[in-house]
Amino acid sequence: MDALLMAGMIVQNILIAFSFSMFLWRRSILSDIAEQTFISTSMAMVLVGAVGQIRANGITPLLNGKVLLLVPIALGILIYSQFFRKYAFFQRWSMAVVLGVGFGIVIMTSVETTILRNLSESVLQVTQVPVATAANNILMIIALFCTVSYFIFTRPRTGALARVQRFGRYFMMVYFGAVFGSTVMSRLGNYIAIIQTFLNNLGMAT
Amino acid sequence: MALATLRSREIVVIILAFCGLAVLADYFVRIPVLRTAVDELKVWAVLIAAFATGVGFFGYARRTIIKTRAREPGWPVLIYGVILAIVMSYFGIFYGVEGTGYSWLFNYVLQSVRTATVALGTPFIFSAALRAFRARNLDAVLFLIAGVLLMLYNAPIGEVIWSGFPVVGQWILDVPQTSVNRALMILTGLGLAAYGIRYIVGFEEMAAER
Amino acid sequence: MVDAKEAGQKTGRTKTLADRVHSMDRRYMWWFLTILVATMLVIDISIPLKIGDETKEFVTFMDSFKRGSVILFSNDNTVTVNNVIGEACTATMRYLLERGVKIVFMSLRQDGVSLTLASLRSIPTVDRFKYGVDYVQFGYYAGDTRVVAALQRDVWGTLGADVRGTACKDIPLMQNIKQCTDFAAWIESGGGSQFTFYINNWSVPYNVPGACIQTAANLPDMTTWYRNRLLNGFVSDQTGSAALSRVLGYPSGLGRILNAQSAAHVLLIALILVGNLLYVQEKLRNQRREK
Repeated sequence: MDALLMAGMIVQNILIAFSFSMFLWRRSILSDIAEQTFISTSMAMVLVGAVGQIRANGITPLLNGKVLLLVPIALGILIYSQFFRKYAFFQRWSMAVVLGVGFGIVIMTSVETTILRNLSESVLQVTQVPVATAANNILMIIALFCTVSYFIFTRPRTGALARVQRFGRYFMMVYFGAVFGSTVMSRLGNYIAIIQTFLNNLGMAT
Repeated sequence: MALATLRSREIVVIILAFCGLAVLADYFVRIPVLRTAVDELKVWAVLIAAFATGVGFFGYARRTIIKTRAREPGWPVLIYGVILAIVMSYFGIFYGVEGTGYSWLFNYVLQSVRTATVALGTPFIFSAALRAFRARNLDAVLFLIAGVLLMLYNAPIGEVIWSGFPVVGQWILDVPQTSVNRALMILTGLGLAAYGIRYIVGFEEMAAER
Repeated sequence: MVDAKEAGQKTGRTKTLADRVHSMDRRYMWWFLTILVATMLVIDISIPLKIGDETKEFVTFMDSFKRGSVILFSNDNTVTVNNVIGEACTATMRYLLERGVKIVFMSLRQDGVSLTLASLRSIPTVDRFKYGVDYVQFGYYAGDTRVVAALQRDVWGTLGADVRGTACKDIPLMQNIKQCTDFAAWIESGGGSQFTFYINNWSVPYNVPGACIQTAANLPDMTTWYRNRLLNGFVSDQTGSAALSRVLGYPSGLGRILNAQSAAHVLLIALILVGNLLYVQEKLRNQRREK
């Protein structure tokens, strides 16, 4: 077997064992090593990603003649002024560009897609469709209406509005339950996969 | 004096407003010059964001140096961490992400320890299930029933236990879940649009200003 | 929760079953869970797998791409998410490349770049495909929705150069790809809401169709967008990945993992039931004592 592969499998199992010792045993130097490995390799990946993107987005086009990119590169470097207290305010200029563009994009996509598209798809047919479909559609319209009414804070929660808002809360509980039930699967998938990796490296689970 | 002028909030608001309004205006008017400028501005924002992501590494390094100098408990482990970070960064930057060194560290070190650390949260769901998930009122009952039905929908065993579980699960996803999700998305969209406009015109403070 | 010792000392009453369960060291349960999962991974039990309509539609969507068309594959997996949907990503890449569809890879997460490379290396037929002609790998781009919005009309400017440092103008595959409408479709894979960036910035304004591979945590969101007719099918979590592999005729390594999933789900449901039974029992006991 390839020496690097063998070494990799051994290191993998050691690190998995160190990480799991935190909850299967107790916090110790072993779990601290695993934790520090997690932080340091994550930071390294972040730096490599940043350098790679700066090269691809900035340096290569700049060397190919896009001189205007000197402006965002300068603004990008200004972000590091946060490490110098006297000049830390310069980073706000760079973040202003990023946030300004971001908000400009988000405002329009919020309106166009998130609001209008969801509203238009909520206009459902209740006649000239099968009974089951009509019933489901009526329920969906009611659920939408009740949920939106739950977030009315400008009127006191009394009378008919309170009853509608209570139903909105019930529908939301069903939604949150569905989200929880779905989330369990992905969390478990991760947990099971790491145990499988451990066993695979020992030749026990294929 | 010059520094005090440069430090003023107005400059930040002007930059923010200019960028935000330019991008917004591009949606409504078709002017070639504006279109080209906005396309360029978007690329600039992406490039500046790249610089921002690198800040984390230097912040981590600085904090480690401070803690090591102060000989805080566990400082030798911090030294190990910084050395590992530097080694991995060296391989990634100078030999590329396709290189053997970075690939090995990514696949066998980073992948395993990150997955295992994130997996640590999963057992807590099980102890919470025994101790905290109580059907105290109608809200909790609805939450738990929907959760259990979705779990049985997702897991292959659900269909084996009863063939109706996938049908019920799919109905919950298609009807109540979809309608509530649409409602929440509409409300979130309204909030985002309102907040975004407030931010662009300078009514909100940037986190970096505090 | 009342501590059992404290309860005994305060009231002088004996420990109930609920008290014993609540004061039990959590590590016993965690060890039990770990051993149960490990057992299900070692022994082989066949539990039938259902293939959802959304997965079938995902395959139909892939079948609709003409030979030679170019799609964007945004691999936004993190290493944790890749354990769950990595197989679906690899199967999708392999199927598209073998059908003659060209792929431009990029990522909105740092991990995605290395994970794409690992997925490509694991494809048995990958040597048949030429880098730069059949597929090209771009790197990680910070900025989320800003990146996707910037790609709308300026693909070359946004992507810049690939992971090998070659500028877009020098990559054969990228010659006719200048804006998002030059792509036949987008496919996004990840564990967050990144697919909504493509829906917001590509599908709605420019009618570029797309589909996604996501974890089950995003199943509610995927279902909603699917019902809104803005997603052409999706693959959800390990069940979807195993189903996709079966439909495409590729071997799947998820059989035993899904068995372990089933066992862990049953354990969780059992714990919820037991916890609630103990709660009801305790409540009735307290009510009787008060009377």
